[in-house]
Amino acid sequence: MNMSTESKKPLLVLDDISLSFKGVKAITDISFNVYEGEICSVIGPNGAGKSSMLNVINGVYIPQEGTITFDGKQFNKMKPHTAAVMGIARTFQNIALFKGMSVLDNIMSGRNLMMKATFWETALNIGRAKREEMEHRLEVEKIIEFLGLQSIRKTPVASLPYGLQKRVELGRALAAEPKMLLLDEPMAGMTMEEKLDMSCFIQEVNRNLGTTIVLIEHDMGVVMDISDHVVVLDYGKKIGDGPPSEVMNNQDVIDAYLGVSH
Amino acid sequence: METFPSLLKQHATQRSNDTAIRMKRYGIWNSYTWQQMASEVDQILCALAANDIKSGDRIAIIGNNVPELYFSIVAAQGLGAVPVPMHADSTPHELKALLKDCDAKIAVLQDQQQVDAIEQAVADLPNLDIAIYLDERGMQSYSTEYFKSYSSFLQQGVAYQQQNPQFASEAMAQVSLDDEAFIVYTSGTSGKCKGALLTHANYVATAAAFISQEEIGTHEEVFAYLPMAYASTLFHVYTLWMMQGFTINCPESNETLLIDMREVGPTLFYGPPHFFKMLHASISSRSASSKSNMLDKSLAELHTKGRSFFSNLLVFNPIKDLYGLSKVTHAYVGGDVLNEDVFQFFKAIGINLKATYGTTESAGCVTVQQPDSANDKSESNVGTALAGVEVKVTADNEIVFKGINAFKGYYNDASETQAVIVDGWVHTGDIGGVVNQQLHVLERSDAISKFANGADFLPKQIENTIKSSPYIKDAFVTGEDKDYISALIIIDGDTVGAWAELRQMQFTGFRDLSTKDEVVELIAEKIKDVNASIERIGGKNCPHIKRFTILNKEFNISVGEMTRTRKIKRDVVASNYAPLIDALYSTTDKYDVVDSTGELVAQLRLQTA
Repeated sequence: MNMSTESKKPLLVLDDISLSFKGVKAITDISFNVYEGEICSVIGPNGAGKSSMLNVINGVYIPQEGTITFDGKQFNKMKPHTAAVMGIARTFQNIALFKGMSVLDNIMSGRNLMMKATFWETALNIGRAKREEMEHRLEVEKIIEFLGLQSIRKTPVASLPYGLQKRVELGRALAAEPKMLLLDEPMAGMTMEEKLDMSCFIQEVNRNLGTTIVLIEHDMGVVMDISDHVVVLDYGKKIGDGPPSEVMNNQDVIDAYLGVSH
Repeated sequence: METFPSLLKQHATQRSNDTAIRMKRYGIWNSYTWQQMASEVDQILCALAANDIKSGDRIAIIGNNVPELYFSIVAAQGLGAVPVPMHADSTPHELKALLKDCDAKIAVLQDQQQVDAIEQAVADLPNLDIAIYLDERGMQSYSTEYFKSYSSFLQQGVAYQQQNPQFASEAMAQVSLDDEAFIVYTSGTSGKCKGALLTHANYVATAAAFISQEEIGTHEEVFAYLPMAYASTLFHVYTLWMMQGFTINCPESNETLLIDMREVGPTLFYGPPHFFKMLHASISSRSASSKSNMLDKSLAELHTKGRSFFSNLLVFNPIKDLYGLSKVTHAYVGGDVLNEDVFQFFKAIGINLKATYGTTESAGCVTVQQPDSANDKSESNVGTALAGVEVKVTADNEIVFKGINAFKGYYNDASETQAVIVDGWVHTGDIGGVVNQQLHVLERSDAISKFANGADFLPKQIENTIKSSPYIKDAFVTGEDKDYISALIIIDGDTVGAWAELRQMQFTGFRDLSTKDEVVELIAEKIKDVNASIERIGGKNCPHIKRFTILNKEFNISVGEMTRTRKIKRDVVASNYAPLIDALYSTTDKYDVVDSTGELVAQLRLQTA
C-alpha cells in the first residue's frame, strides 16, 4: 500500500466539514480524503472530534457545512441507511451487540440489508426465505472461520470476554460486505495479546478482502504499525494528514500530544 | 483378506449410498457416500499417475483429519505407492528430515501452514516434484509451478481417466497384500525418527483379529480427531473403517473438538491417556464448582449399593451426554498408561473402557483387555495378545512380539531393523511382564535406573500416580543415584483456574497461578498422598518425593521436550532443566528462570514435601 497518495483513487472525500451542537463547535472546516484500499487512522487527544467525524461519515450527525463524496456520489447530508446501502459499515466504541443472541445470529444480523424475502416468507420459512437463509449462513460461516469464532458460534454474546465481543462486532460489520469499514477504537480496553490479534485481523481484512478501513485508535504503536495514512485532529481541527512517518515528525502533532497550552 | 483399495471397491458396490465420511465445514456436517468416495479416489489415483507417480513411490500426507487426505491415502495405496502420514503442525525442520528420509516424490498438504513449511525446506528436497494443497485461501503468492491446488490436480485426474478409463481399476487389482500400505514414523521418546514399513496384510489381518474379538460392527460412528500420523489412528480409525465400512467423522477444527464430538456421538472411541485425563479433569472441575455433590455421592454409592436407576438417570447419563459419550459401546485407551483412578472413573460412569497396547511397529495393536472378569485391576494391565500374535518378555523383561502384526523393518535402515527384529521377535523397548497371560507394561527400558540405595527406579508409575490429580497436567520425577525423588509439576491451568475462582483468588494467568501459596499447598497435598503409599507405587525401598517445584510453563513439543503423542522425552527434559534439578537436590528454596538475554522470567519456589 505504499503508493503515493496522488496515484490512488479517493473513495471518500470530506470537503470543508463543520459540525456544531447548539453553537459548540465539534468539527471545524475539516477536509481530507480516504483512498481506496488503504488503512486510514484518525487520531487525536480526547474530545478532538474523532468519533463525531466518524458519525458524520456514516450519517448519524449531519454537518452544518461541507459535503461528503463517497464512491463518486456527493452528499450534503448522509443518512445512516444510505451509508449502509452504499457500503459503509461500522463498529462502535462501546460494544453494541445483541447481548442475548448467539455469535452466529449477531453476525447474521449484519446481512439484514441483503435479505430480500418478505416478512411472511421469513415468518413461515418458505421459498425464498429458506434459500436466502442458507446462502447468507454460508457467507457468515466464512466470516466465523476467518475470525476464528467456530467454537463459540452458538454462545450468547453476553457471556464472552470483552476481546471476543469486539471480534464479533467486527464480524457483524464484515457481514455487510462493506466497501469501507469504520472502526471506532477497536482495541480500547484490550490486553496486549487481544490487540495483536485484532490488528492482524484488521490487516487481513484490508489485504484479503480489499476493504478500505477508517480507524480511530488511541494506541499510537498500533496506529503507526498498521496505517497507510494518518489524519490528526485536535480541538475539532485537522492538524496533520499524511503517511505515519511524516505525521510522527509534525510539530503541531507533537505539541497536541504533549499538551501545549492553547 | 483384501487390500485397502479392494475393500473400498467392495463398499462402493455393496453399500454405495451409505455415508463413508463426514466433515464439519462452515458449521455444517457434509458427507460423502462410499460411491462418491470411490469415484474421487479414482480421480486422485489417475492424477497421481498423470504426475508420473509410480508403484513404490512415497507420497507424504500432511494435515489434520479431512476427507480428501483419507482419499489420497487410499488412492496412493491403489496405485501401489506408499502413503507417509505426517503431522499438520510439523516445523519446516521436522518436515525436511522426514521428507528426505522417506524420499517422497509428492506431498498432499492441508493448507497454507504446511505450504509455508515446505517452501522453506524445498531447496533441500530435490526429489519432491510437486506439492498439492487442499485449502486455497492465502495461496495467491506461491509458485504455481510447484504448488498445485487440489481442484486443478483433480482436473488432471479426470482428463487422464477419460484417456484411460480402466486405469484405476487395473492399478488397484495389481496391489497385493504383501505390498507396503504405510510408512509410519515413530514419534520417538528417544533417538531419531524411524519409518516403519507396514504391509496391507499387517493391518488387515490384525484388524480382523481385533474386530472378531471385540465384536466391532458395520454401523459404528467413529470420531477421527487424533493426528493421522499416529500409528493408533491408522489402526483404530483408518483400518477398522475400511474393513467394516462404517462412518468416520472429522471435526471442524481442534478448537471445536469437544462440541463436534458431542454432535457425532461416537459408538467406537479410541483415545490416548491425556484425552481421558482431560475429560476427567473437566468433569471434576465442573462438579467441584457446582453446588451439588451428587457426582461424588453417586460414585461413593457404586461401592456400597451399586448402580441405581436414579444415579444413571440424574448423574452418569447427563455427564456422558455432555461429553458426547452416551452412545459409546466400545472405548479404548492406548499409547501410554492411564492412571487407575481415572480409568475406574470412566468405568464407574458406565463406559466400557479397555486398555490396549500397540506400537508403531505392530500396526498399532498387540494386546487388548479381555472383558472385565478376566482382568486384574492394576493400571499396567493391557490385556492379552490378539489372535495370531504372540507376546512375551525376554530375560531382561523387555516386551517382544511376533505374528501377523509384525512390521517388515525400517525404511532404508537395515541396522536399526536388525537391532529391533531378533529371531523374528520384534523388540519394543518397553519393560513389563506377563502374569496369567495378561501383559503388563511398566516403563521404557531407557527410563529405568537405580536409586542410591540400589532399588529400581521406574519413574512412570510415580508420575502417573501424581497425575491422577485433576489439578496436575504433567509431572516429571528424577532420582537416579539419589536418596530421594524430586518432581517437576505442571498444573492444569483450566482446573486450577476454576478451583482458584471458586475460592475467589485473584490471579492474572498461568504463571501467576503456579506461584500462589494456595496452589502450592494443593499440590503439596497430592505429593503427600503419593508419599503415603510410595512403596506400593514405586516398589520396595522406593524413597519419598522430598522436593518438588511447580513449573511456570508446560513442556514444549516444538523444542522436543514431549513427543507429538504427548509423552515426555526424558533425556531432553533432564538436560533442559538440569540446573533446576540440581537446585532441587540442594538446600535452596528459590530458582530464577532467565531467558536467553539473561532477563528474569520467573522465580520458581522449590518446596520440601
